[in-house]
Parts: sequence; C-alpha cells; structure tokens
Amino acid sequence: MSSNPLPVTILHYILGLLPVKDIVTFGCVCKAWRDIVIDPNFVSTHLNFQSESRRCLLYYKEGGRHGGKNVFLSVNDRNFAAHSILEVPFSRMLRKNHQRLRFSHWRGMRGEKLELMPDAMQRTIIQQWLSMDVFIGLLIGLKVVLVSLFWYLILVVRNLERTLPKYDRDEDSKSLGYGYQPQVSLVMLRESLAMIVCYFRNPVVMECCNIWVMRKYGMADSWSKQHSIGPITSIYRCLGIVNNRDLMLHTYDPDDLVTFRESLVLYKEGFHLTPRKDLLVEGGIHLGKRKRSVFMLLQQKWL
Amino acid sequence: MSSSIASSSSSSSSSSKKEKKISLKTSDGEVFEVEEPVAMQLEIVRSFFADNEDVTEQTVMPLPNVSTAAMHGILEYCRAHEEFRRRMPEAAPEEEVRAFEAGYVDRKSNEELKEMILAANYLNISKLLDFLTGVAAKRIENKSVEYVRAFFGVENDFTPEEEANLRREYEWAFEGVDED
Repeated sequence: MSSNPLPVTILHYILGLLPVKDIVTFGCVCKAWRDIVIDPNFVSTHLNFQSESRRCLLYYKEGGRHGGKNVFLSVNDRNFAAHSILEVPFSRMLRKNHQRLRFSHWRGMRGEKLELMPDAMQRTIIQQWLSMDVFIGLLIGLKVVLVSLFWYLILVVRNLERTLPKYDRDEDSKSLGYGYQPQVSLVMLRESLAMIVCYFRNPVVMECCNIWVMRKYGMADSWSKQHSIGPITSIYRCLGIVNNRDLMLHTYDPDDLVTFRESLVLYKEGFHLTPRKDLLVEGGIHLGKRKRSVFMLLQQKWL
Repeated sequence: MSSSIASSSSSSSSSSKKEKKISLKTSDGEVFEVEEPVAMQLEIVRSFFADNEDVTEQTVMPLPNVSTAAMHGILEYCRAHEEFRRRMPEAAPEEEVRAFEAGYVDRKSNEELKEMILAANYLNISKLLDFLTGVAAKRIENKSVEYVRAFFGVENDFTPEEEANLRREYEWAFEGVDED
C-alpha cells in the first residue's frame, strides 16, 4: 500500500542534497524521476544546495575498470569514500598528447608565486607511492600518473583553501594560452563540472574568460555558459577555482592574486590582494560574435 | 477590527495564567487543542487567523490533508522548539536541538517520515520541512534504485529494455551501492 507520492518540489529538495552519483543512479527509479534528474532547474537547485558543502573535483583516470573512459571524481573533503564520478564528455580532448593534470598551488606568502607541479616532482611522488603497500591494490590497472593524483588529492584536501585543482588542456608547459589560443581548464564549480575558457587578445593580455558549466549531469550537450568575465586589462590569467566557488585571478603584479566571488563581491585573501572594481560579470548565455567563433573552433577541435 | 486583534494578542502575551488555545481538526476528525505560540509555527494556521477577521477563538480550523498520526509528530516537534525558544530566546541551544532532532527522527519509520513531509509541506513549516527532507536524503544516500522505489512507493514505469539501457549508460554510478 503506497500512499500519496511526494510532490516534485519536495523531491527537488531531497535529491538536491545528494551527491551526483546518487542523482544519476536514481534517474532509473521511474520516468518522473528521470525527468527531474535531467531538468536544468533541478541542476541549479542542486548547485545551490551543494555550494556550502566543500566537495571538490580531484581525480582523473583513463582506462581501468571503467573501460577506457575518462572520469572525474568529486570527493567530499571529509570522506574519500563518498565520491561521485562525472563522465567528461569531450574525451577526445583529454586523450590528446601531452595532456597533463596541473594543480596550481598557492601558498599565500609574499613572493611565493603560484606553483605548478613539474613532471620531475610527479615522478618522485610516484616512486614514493609505489613503495606503499596500502594503495597498491587500489591502484593496479591505473596509469602511473594517477598515482600522483592520489597523493595530491590528500594534499588538496588538507589544504583546500590554497589549492586550485584543475585540468589544463595544454600542449606543453609553456602554453598558458599564449599565441591567441584559448586556454581551457576543467575545474569544479559548486560540485559541478565546469570549464574555464580564457581568450587572449595578444600573447600577454587576457581578453576575457568564460565559465561553462555542465547543466545536465552526464549529458555532453548540456554545457552552457554560466559567467563571462572581462574584458579586463589588469588580469594576467585565470588560475582556477578556490573554495569550490570563487575564481582566482592572477594580476600583473606577481604578488597580486585576486579572488573573485560569484556574487560579484571581491574580497581580500591573504597578502597583497587588491579588491578590483573593474571586473564585469554577466550571467546566462550571451555569446559575442567573436567569442562564438572561438568557441566553434574549440568545439571542432576538441569536443 | 484590527485593534481588537492587536489587543487580544497583547493580552495573551501579558496574561500567562491562561494560555490561549487554537483548535485544529485533522482529516480523520480528531480535534487538537494547541497552544497559540506552537500553532503559529504552522504558517497555514498563522495566515488563516491573520487573514480572516471573523474567526474567533472557538473556530475549529479544519486541516483535511493532515492525518492524526502526522499531526502528533508535528506537534511534538513544534512544542519542543517552542520550549527551546522560551528558555533561550536569543540563541537556540544547538546541541540540545540536535540531540532532540536525532532522537525524534530515529523513532520514525520511512512511511511516517513520508507522511510527515507531506504534512509539513501542506502546513508550510519550513524549518521542519528542511529538517525532514535532510533526513530523507540521508536515508536514501548511496542506496540502490530498488530501495528508493520501495522508500517512496514509486512504481517502475520503464520497460526492462529501457532500464537496462539506462543502467548500461551510467554503469559507473551503480558501483559500490550500499546493501539494502
């Protein structure tokens, strides 16, 4: 004997509190639930509900048990087991040569700039990790690079405020979007897979950057533009997302890092941060002509 | 008319010897006599009394969507919160509230929980609704699809092929699900 079904608004509340993995699973409960799960309104609700919980994206793997797919895990900072996996739709982009996961790490001290993880360091870490028995079983079948990610995952969780986990799609270490190529990074924004695309006016000046978010979980064509920032003359590049929701921007002054909150409030964090008033953000989907063409180019190349 | 409402509310707050009661009638006909501050936590009751000028203290407010069992549970919660507020009007004693809430919800079965969510939604008690939906989410987190169907009493309207396709498509999400 089943009583009245719960209204859809209530289901939005309940499902909004769950991790992505459960949401995708529960799409199989019935057709009505399936509709809820892929409803962009629901995804918005979910993003808002999750904004305070500090789940973050951390892990990439290729091959292994998931049959050669590229997946991202988002990990709750208190519990490694409570993870959710998001399939990255543009697998071709990730399978390109010289791909690397790049963790930007900022220590918040004067003179100490943003660190990117060099290859040599990765190798050392891998060796350290291979000597540890505990994770060997877990890691069998994964590519060696991933081991370092596990290591870094711990570091990131310990130091969440300061580390900007992101996946840069770049050909070599020099390329930070120079040469007019847009710089593309995958990041986690409010527990949702997001993509930062930085466009450059000339080799040094970032023209603007757009944040795309995957609106329907597990659906490749649901990427939509959430924010557009710029044009800004004083910003050198966009570093990533901190605290699961704030953008961190690098200005020309090497000591000057600016965090930028989605709600348009700039605030100071650490040393030598100057609040900027000249940043512009627009929500929703609004593509200028030129930006659109760049995005088309991007789609043709990598999506 | 508005002055009489103001005076009655001020007299009720000043005279504590006899508390004002509000009568609420559930779907199965039982009438609950509820203390005014507790009843006012029910948004639907509050607006009923605020909007209708011709209701008196003797008016019995019918609540056709709320069963007696759910009403018992809801009043228990609202009374406890009223008690907390009276003791500490500034800041609620958080630990006590949490201990009460944990004990309170442990005794509820899934079916009771669902019924109370529906009732809390109808009565528009946002605090209780937030709390109960959180509990429901915790109960279904990392559970199997079958468990969730049973929990919510939902019929599976997919054909076996459709369901198999969905499961294949999102295979990764189905790994490591808790035993029911």
